[in-house]
Amino acid sequence: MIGDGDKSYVLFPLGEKRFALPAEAVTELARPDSLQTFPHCTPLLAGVLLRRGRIVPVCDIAQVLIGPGAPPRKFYLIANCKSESRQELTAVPVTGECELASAARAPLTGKEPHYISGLLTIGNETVEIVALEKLMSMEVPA
Amino acid sequence: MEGLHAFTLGGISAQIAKLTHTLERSGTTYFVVDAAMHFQLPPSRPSRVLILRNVPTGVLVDSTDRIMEITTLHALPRAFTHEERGWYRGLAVVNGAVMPVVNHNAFLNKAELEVLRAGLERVRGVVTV
Repeated sequence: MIGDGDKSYVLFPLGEKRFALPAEAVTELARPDSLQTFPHCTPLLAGVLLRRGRIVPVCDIAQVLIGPGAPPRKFYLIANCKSESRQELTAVPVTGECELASAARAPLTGKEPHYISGLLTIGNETVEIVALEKLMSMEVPA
Repeated sequence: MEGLHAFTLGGISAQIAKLTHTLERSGTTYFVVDAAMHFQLPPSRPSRVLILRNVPTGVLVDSTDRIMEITTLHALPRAFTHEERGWYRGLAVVNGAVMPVVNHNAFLNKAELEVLRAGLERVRGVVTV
């Protein structure tokens, strides 16, 4: 049931946990394509994908959200990410099937990292909403 | 690889660690940069020197593949935010493969070239005013 104030989110799994992105930001769930790499120094970026003639950077956020022991990523969730004043497609590797869900945001507890923009309560599960652009701008130690 | 001389010039060698050799060609001294160090890659076994046009810079590379014409240059996605923004002019797609197109001016920037020229003149005993 969709209540007043509910919004749609795409829930994506990373290992045992699920996280959410606003549905309006997500453009597709893609099967693993061949990741292409070249030298660079930006943390979290694993390389790029070529999707329908567009070059899409791949941001492996699992290392921040659940740590280095993340299981193999099976799909790419492709989302619009605001970078400075422009939108840019970004692929996020996820470990399983995604789900579209509608829910109202629960208030933050104040203990969440800055890249968590809100919380969803779905049944007994609390799902963190990821602010992709904040996560991508993090400096991750090598 | 013939004609390469190990680069040692006081403190400058330490400042620009990727500059490993010099090469004399037709009266010009080329400053040779190790591409693996420039791109922060593990050490490699270079077998070729690319001499760049219009700049006194050479680049040590493992090998050369082919010469090809690139018609479209894609901007480097903004998600790339670090040194690579200076390293590359953009990205090209060749037969489904994404290839970075190198910014040749980034191997040694203007300030580094000025320091090198001045250092070289000092060593050669040329008085500059």
